[in-house]
Amino acid sequence: MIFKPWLVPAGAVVALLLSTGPAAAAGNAGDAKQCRTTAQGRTVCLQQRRLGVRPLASLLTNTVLPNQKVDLSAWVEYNPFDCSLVSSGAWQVTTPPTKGDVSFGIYSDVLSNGDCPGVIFPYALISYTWTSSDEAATQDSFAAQWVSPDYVEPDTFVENLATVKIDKVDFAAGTASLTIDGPPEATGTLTLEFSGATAGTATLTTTESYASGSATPTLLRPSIPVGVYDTLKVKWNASTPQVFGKLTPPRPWNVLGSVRYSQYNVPVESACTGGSVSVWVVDSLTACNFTQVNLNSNFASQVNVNGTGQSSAHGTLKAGAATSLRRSCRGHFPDGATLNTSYLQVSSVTGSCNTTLVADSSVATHPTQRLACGANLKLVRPDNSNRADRTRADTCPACNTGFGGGDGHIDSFTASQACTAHDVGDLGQFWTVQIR
Amino acid sequence: MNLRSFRLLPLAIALAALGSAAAAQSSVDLAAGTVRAGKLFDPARASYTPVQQAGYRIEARRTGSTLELAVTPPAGTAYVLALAPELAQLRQVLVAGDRLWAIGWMNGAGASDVSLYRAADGRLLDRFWAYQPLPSPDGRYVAFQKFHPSHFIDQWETQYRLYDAALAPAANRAALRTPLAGEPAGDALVDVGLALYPLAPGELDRDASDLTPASAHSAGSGFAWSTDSRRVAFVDVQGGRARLVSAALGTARPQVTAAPLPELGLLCAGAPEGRACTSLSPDFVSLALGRADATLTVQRPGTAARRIGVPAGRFTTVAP
Repeated sequence: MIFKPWLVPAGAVVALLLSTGPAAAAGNAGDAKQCRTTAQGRTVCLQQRRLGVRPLASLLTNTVLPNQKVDLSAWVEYNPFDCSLVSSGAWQVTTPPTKGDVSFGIYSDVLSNGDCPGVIFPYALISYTWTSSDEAATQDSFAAQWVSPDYVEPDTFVENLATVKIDKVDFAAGTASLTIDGPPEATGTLTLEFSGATAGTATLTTTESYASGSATPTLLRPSIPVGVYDTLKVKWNASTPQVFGKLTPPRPWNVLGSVRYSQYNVPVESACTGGSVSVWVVDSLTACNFTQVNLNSNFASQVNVNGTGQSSAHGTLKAGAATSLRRSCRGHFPDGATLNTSYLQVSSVTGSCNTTLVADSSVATHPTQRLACGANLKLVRPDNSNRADRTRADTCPACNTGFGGGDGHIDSFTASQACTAHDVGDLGQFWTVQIR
Repeated sequence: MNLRSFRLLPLAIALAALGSAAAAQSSVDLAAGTVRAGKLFDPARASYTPVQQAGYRIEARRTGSTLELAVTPPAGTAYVLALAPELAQLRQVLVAGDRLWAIGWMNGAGASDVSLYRAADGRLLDRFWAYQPLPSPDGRYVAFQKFHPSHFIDQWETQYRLYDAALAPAANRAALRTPLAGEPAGDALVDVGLALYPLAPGELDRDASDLTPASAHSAGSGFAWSTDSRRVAFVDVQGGRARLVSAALGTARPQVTAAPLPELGLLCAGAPEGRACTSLSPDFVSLALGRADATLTVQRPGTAARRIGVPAGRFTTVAP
């Protein structure tokens, strides 16, 4: 039923004005409807449509992407009795934005409060577009008022630039953990840029698109070239330009690149065949007592090649040339004894880091790789799956060469007790990163 | 060490390579001393293609864990010689005149066995251990780095040596300096060769236990020979400074000169100008020798080559 306001008793008009009317039609929650009687005695109503992408959030706050126009608010004044348009009104900017532009238009739609079902009204629309290129800018605000013949509605608008927060980079797992805060309907791939002063920039772009919320993109680790990287920048490709986040880790990411892993072992005398040879065993570098003994000749030779061996009767032996025997026991060498025929007895198999070597865990590296004792490495196959973990415990003097076409060479200690290196071939070539 | 290199592959191709490499043997080019496919050091699976050199047909084969060469001379009786038991993977054979060199790795760290045989009948003439051995084109010399154990060693340095096959084995083992009282005798497999560098008293043939980190020499490149086998050169690094060392042969003792290489510091990311880049692997450095000058080429995988010309005038005599 449509009432002509001038025919309704004042009290009834008041009652009518206070009526909320039928249930609101579908629309953003909280779309306002106001009604009043004008000085001319007309009853008019006002409907606002909040068009921001967060219907449950603050009326005037939005999360925006650069260069993407966002419709913010729209008003219309109408006659609730005959459903005629009183006025679309117009927006006036009272305090302009500083990081974007405001634009105006018409938003055509029914009333969301349920009045005048099926009738399309032209709302005056205000929109915003973030345009700033200032990478430090995160928020913009402006004030505007909607004006119609019977109303003035001032509003303040706050626009938050979408963000990408890098929570964690886990090279061991091959993932990065991110939090994307953006417009809920926006999606985009992620571009990850690792950079370092001496490493250049390594760029990875996901094939999967990510929406606002948590994201855990996979790092295609083997595609990251050798280098020390101290910054990660993650761009969310939901807009042009992109929004991004940056992370500087407490310790730079040390990517060793594609590394050839040779293997070495401690030969065991009992695994050696062949005859014996007379050699000298030295008890210590201080006492310098030389004792003539027999060792398997192949075993003795292998100890000289590799540096340490496990003898059957004399414990762990180190090649004289791998120690300071020549200087420490100068004057004690029996006639005919050489560094290659003299072996120092030691209590355990230790590397240059003075820790006991662990098979299939300890590695020997060259000093130019700048890995401290105890540095942990992750070995990754070309398909990005994890192959193994290794820990630096020894030094490999010859590992500054023999890269096999890759970026480095590391010698991995193996449990093999083989007498010769025939059965101690390379472990393989793996992309490697220092994880601790 | 002259290795055939390969570039890192895109993921899809790398996946295919992984599948094929897992099954592929390591194919060793005995003439060039290079390894294709598979793993660089893979003794149990290494395959060797027979080579023809100077009329000799040479085939390497494995019997258990021992390698042997089946040699068919151009004239005379074919023979089989067993290589040294420490030699796990043969890398190169070279026939030059009446000499047959067999060079191979004893382990994955590149420790090498170098054996010299009489080509006509395979009689062993001499044998020694080394790193980075490189025969001269005419097969008379082998330039090499003096051997030290490959692991479990705290101190070491690179000492550069030259083996002259025209000299008797004993002459290749002449004492390089007056031994200190009570020092052990030299070892036949290790204390070998004429000294190329360093030559300064106190550095020549010194014991590793006498080193300090700043004083140790390390190799900045492999060896390079002139085509006439009369000159050999290499890059040495000491105390962060690189030098191109060149030795002229043909007299009783090598005539050694050296040229500073401050340019290497400019080629190493992060290295201050004027300081040599000690993290630059010899794998990335190659040398080409002219009559008296040289050209250094530095190339890391995936990057453009950088060339440094070293004119003859930059070299100064290295006094013993």
